[in-house]
Amino acid sequence: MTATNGAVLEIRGLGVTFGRRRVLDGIQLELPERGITAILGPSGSGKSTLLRALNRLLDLTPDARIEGSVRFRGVEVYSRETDPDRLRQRIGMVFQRPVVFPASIRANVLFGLKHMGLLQGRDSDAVVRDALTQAGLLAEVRDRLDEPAARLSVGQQQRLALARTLALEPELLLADEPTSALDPESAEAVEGTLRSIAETRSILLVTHSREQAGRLAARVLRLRDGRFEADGRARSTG
Amino acid sequence: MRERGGWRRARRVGFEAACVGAGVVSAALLFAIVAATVWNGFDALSLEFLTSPSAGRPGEGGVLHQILGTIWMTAWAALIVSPLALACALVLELLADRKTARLLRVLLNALNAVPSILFGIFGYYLFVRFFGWGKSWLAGSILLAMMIAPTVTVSWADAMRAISAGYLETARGLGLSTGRVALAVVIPQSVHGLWRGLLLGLARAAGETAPILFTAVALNGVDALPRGIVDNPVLALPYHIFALSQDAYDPAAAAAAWGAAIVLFALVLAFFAASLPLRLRAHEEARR
Repeated sequence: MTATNGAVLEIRGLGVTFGRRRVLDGIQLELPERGITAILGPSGSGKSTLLRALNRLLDLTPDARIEGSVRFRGVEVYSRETDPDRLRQRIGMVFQRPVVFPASIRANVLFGLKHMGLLQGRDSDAVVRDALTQAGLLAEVRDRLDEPAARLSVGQQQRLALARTLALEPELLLADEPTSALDPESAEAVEGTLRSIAETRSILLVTHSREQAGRLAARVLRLRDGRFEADGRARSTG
Repeated sequence: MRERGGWRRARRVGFEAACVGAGVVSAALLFAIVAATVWNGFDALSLEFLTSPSAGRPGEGGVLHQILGTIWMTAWAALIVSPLALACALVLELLADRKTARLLRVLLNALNAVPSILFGIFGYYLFVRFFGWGKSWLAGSILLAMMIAPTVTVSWADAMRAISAGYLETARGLGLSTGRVALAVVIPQSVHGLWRGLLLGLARAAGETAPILFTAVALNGVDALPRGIVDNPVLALPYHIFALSQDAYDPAAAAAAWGAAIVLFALVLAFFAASLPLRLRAHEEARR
């Protein structure tokens, strides 16, 4: 199950319509195996819709109509054979506002694995440690894993949300303005985390900030009125 | 301008007075019922009244078996209605499209509006005659469960609706199926709605006579708790009060009826009081 040309994800002619409103039109994009690709664009330009189309979260929106092709590791995402739940596990997503469940830090990290029955036979402590290390949070919460996650700062909660997603070992990460609700210090911490995650996998980052895109992304695309304006680049993440 | 301002003020004052008046009337009515019940029944209350079974003659003995029978029947009603309400609430909030959900809500409201005596007649034909159960506590529990199903379902569904959309989207984003989202997020986050609905529903069910009159209760001559299902009625407080009221010309029977009414009132009040923190939580959630 490898992509035909080394891309982890290929989008061809993707269009999304809500009722009569065309939100995305003729989207073409290929994501590499690793590194950050950023999408810039004003509010309402279709950035979040694009991310939700890639992991089929749009399936949950009743009046959304999708056309075109999205191939993840060479397999059509919108084919009947693709299990959308399994797909979402492989294409992880981090949202704009951090959401932590009303449970401990440990339980939050293990949430997905536990409820999908994927924890059996695994060392849960090791999973928690590994995910929190990847999210750059372990040092700050090592001694209070069983405390309520709600006690963490918003920035820490966002990195906890990242850890929860990373615990499922996604092959591609979709990040929907993950720092827009954070203070500059927390945003910097999350950026550092994204940078280190991007060394091993691909991240598609939606952001409002041209500066952030420039700092993080190897490639920057600008979305306006549902279409890519220009295929630019920022600089190599290496 | 001054005239118009004066008229507006008069209308506001009139509206406020009408609201206060309506509140005072409702409170006075409740106070009158409680006062009459306590005034007439207080003398009948004693430890013996609460801990001994009723005797053969109306008004003699206590209400222990009636208390046990009422709790038994309402507890089973709670057990029966809970999975039913869960299924309905999940359909309403998680599975059904908008049109189906609206239709289901209309049906639930219609069920809520069915007079309780109709539940009694329906139960009589279904359980007593068609199934041949005779008088059975289980028939009573099922009928009470049907009667409170709308209250419990709507309460639970409202609690589900109040769950943050972020929780649901996050869980789906991690790859949880609809069923797993229900188990991992929706049910744990909304279970207070079940308790709230159950306690309100049971407060109503505990005082109902009509649904159990022909189907589930006896006046005396049965064990404290049933030993089977068919031909196994129980004693219950509302029916006991109803039967004693028919002999109210006898002062002992009337006093015992008022005493049993206090006990029933206390039981209902306990359910209501237990639901209060959960209702306050729902109000807080609605305000957020």
